[in-house]
Amino acid sequence: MELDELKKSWEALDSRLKKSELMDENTLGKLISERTKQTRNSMNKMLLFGQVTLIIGFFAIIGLGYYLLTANHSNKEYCLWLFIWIMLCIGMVWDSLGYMYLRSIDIERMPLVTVIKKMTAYNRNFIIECFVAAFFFLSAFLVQAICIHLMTLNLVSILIFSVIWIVGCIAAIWIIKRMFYDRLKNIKRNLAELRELKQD
Amino acid sequence: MNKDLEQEFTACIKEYERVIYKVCYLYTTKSASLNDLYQEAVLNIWRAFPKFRGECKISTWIYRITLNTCISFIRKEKNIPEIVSLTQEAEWLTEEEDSFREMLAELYRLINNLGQLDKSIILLYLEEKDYAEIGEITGLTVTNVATKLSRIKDKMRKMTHS
Repeated sequence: MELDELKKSWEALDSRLKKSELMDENTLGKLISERTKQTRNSMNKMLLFGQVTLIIGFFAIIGLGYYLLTANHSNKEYCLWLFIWIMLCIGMVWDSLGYMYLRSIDIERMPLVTVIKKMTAYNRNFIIECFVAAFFFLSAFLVQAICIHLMTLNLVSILIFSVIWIVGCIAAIWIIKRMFYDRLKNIKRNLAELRELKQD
Repeated sequence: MNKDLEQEFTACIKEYERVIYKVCYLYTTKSASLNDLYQEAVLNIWRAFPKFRGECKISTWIYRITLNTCISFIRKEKNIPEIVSLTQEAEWLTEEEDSFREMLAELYRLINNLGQLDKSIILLYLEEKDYAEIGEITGLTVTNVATKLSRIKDKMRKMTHS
C-alpha cells in the first residue's frame, strides 16, 4: 500500500466518521461532571494514600533499622535483614522518583519528541524495575532454600519446593511475554528513531 | 469552569472530535482501548482548556495533547476516572462492509509497524498538515520532517512488498 492509497483509506475513514455522532453533548457533560467529582474525591484519596504509604514505608525502614541495630543476630541473619532493609530504602526512593518523573511529563506543552524520549526512558526503567524485583524474589527463594537446609529434607519436600519454583518461573516468563514483549519492541523502535534523529 | 467556558469547550470538542477519534484509533492497543484513549484525550483537553492562550492554532494544540495522551497513556496512576460509555463506540466499524474494514485493518497494520514518532508524522501527513505544523507539533525542524517523511515512505514501501 503506497502513501496515496493510505490517504484514500484515511479520507474514507474521515467521511464515515462525519456521518456518525461520536459523543453527544449529554455524554460529554456527564463525563465532565463525573471527572470533576472524581478529581475532588481522588485528590483527597490520593493524598491520604500517598501519606499512608510513605508513613508505612518510613516506619518499616526505622523499625527494621532499629531491629538490625539492637537484636542479636547470627551473621547470616544480619546479612539477610540488611539486604531487605537496603532494598526497601532503594525501592521507596526509586518509586518516588518514578512517580515524580511521570508527573513531570507536561503533555500540554511538550513537543512529541520530548514526550516520546521521556516515555521510552520510563518504560525502559519500568522493565528494569521488574527484572530487579524478579531478581530480588529469586534471591529470597535461594535464601529460603539455604535457611531450610533443602538438601537435607526428604524427597517429597524437595519435589514440592521444586514444583513451586518451576511454576513460579513459568508464570514469570508468561507475564514477561504478555506484558513486556510489546513494550520492549516499542522501546527498541523508539530508540532507533531517536538515534536516527540525532544523526540528522 | 464557568458555563461559557464549558459551552466553548463543548463546541471545540464537537468541531475536532473526528481528529481526536482518528488519532486515538491508530494508537489503540490490547491494553488501551479506543474508548479509554478517546476519553482520556478529551479529559486532558478539558483540563488544559482554560490555560489555552492561543499561542498556536487550536488544531495544533489539540493534535499535540491527543498524540501526547496516546503516547503516554499508562495505567500506573491511581486516579483513573471511571469510563463513561460512548454513544457510538466504533459501532459503524463492525456494521460496515468487509472491504472497508479490510482497508482499515491494512492501514492500521502498516502504521502500527512504525515507531511512535514515525506514526505521529504519518498521521499528521494524512491529515494534510504542512511541514511547518508537523514540526510545531512534534518538535522537529522542517528539514527533519521532510527527511523523516521520505524515510517513512521507503519503510512503508518495503513493508508492503514484504
